[in-house]
Amino acid sequence: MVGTRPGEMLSVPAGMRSGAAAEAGTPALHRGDPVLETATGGSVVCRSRGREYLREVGWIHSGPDRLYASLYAARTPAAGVVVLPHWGRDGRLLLEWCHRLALGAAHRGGCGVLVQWPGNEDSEGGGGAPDLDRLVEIGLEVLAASRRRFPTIPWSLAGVRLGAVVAALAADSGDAAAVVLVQPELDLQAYFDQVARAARLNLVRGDPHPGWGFRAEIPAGLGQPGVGARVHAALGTLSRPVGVVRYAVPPSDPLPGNVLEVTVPGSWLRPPGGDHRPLRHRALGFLSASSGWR
Amino acid sequence: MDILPVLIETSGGVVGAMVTSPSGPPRGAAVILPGALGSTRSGLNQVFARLASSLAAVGVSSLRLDYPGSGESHLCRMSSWEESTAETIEWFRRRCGERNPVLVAECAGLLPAYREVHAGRGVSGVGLFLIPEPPAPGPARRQRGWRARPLARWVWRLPRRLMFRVRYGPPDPRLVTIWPASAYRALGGSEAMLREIAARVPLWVLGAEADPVTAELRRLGDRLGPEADCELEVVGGTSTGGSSLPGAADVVRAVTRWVDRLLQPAAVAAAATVADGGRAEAVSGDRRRGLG
Repeated sequence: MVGTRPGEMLSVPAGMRSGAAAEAGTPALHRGDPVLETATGGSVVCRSRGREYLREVGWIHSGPDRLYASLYAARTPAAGVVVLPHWGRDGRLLLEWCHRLALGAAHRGGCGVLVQWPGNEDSEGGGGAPDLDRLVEIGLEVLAASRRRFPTIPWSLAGVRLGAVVAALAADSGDAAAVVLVQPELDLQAYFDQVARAARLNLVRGDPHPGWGFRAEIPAGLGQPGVGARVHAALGTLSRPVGVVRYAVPPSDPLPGNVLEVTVPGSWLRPPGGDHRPLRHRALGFLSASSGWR
Repeated sequence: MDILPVLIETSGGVVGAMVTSPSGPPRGAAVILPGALGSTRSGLNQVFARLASSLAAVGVSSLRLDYPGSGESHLCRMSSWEESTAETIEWFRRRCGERNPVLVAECAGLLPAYREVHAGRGVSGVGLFLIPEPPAPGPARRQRGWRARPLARWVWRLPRRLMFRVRYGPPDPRLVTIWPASAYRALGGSEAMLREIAARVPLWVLGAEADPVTAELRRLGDRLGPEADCELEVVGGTSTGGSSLPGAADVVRAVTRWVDRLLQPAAVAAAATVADGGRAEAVSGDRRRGLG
């Protein structure tokens, strides 16, 4: 317990568990184990839809950056997935969706780890600085950290929008069991150009600085030319199950023959049902089929 | 400086929060309350994360939380936002030793800050920026029309929603208003809340020169009178938020300066007097009185 002596303020030792777990004596799984790679943060056993699962939060050290990660796991996970999220303001709007994708893995008897990119949400590091190779390096390190946490299970990658590019490039080096790309933005240059154009046209809000779009900095290192071709080439040579889950609208460019394309009726901008549940459902279904989950 | 992510069990579910503590012994504590519309505990362009680091540099521990339904608290029931937020602040307060925390609120964070002060829980002071404008009530006939239209839309979409529920499970909570406009109306809008806060604890508001709300705040200051323990600090520009890096830097600098000043020994003594239930009668001499 911390800060219990009179006059003493918070001075939190590394490895402290969440207050609720510590106070109420909640039976936490792996209480003495490190959270992901380094031992800080909370660990609680939660219950959702009648099933119990472990939830942990903590840091993963990657080069100069300290990345925030969230873990959801069944009691004895049969397989795992690392969720690589989207970027910036758009990424924030998909944050809860990404959490639910990781939670969905735990519900299906697996384990999901969601990491935040440097400079995004709770992760430390420069927001505008990283280039694509650095993000791929991060993806590989998170995969390795997750594998150290649960070493005996197969680990897959799930990339969401921009994260799909990273997942496609990291899959072979990281020896991922399967790769699922959700509504991928395979051509990052086109994507960031579109963000900048939409921000310029948004006359109501305006834009505070050049190089910014929708109140966030557009990372110059990610929107470099040639990324689309590089990703297509990487996808074509992948020797593991690869699936792309996306809406029918907007239509996608042709994908290499080894990629299984799962199209969900509806549009990305006007999702049927008001959220992206169908995408999550299909993505988890693909991982279940290709990695042997329930 | 140490940043510790924590998961806190509340009556509505698990709330995710970050505790930032200084490297030395802390001399004060702060709770950072984000705005409601899609804000997370790190804030737009990480303004709250920067603020927490800046506060730690002057020896202040801080807690920033994701509201129920958002970010790490996405599984916490949004309907229990009030209880869950209060329980999370209480969890932090119990670890603050003898001193009560300062509440720093952005935009709709005013509402939980007000609830804390109104309930008489220990609060050393309240700092606000990006004050929300109270929603103007529309005419009754128009309101009836606005209610009928969503109802018709709801009925029209019901079969499809049921089909989706059967196939894909319950819908995700919508990431929109955690604080409904009706709550503002019930409380009489921002002005009533600011009045009560200023009557109980030191209140500090950060405004932007070109922001129309700043002029409103000046007029409110005139109405409150000089005896209210409140002050308005105005910076240049159009907005005091994280929507640009200079705006975020302004917020971080100004809030840190205010918290640092509030925790000076003389100000702490004055705040203790206020927290005991009386109006502020003595504050440190360098502070301006009144929002104007």
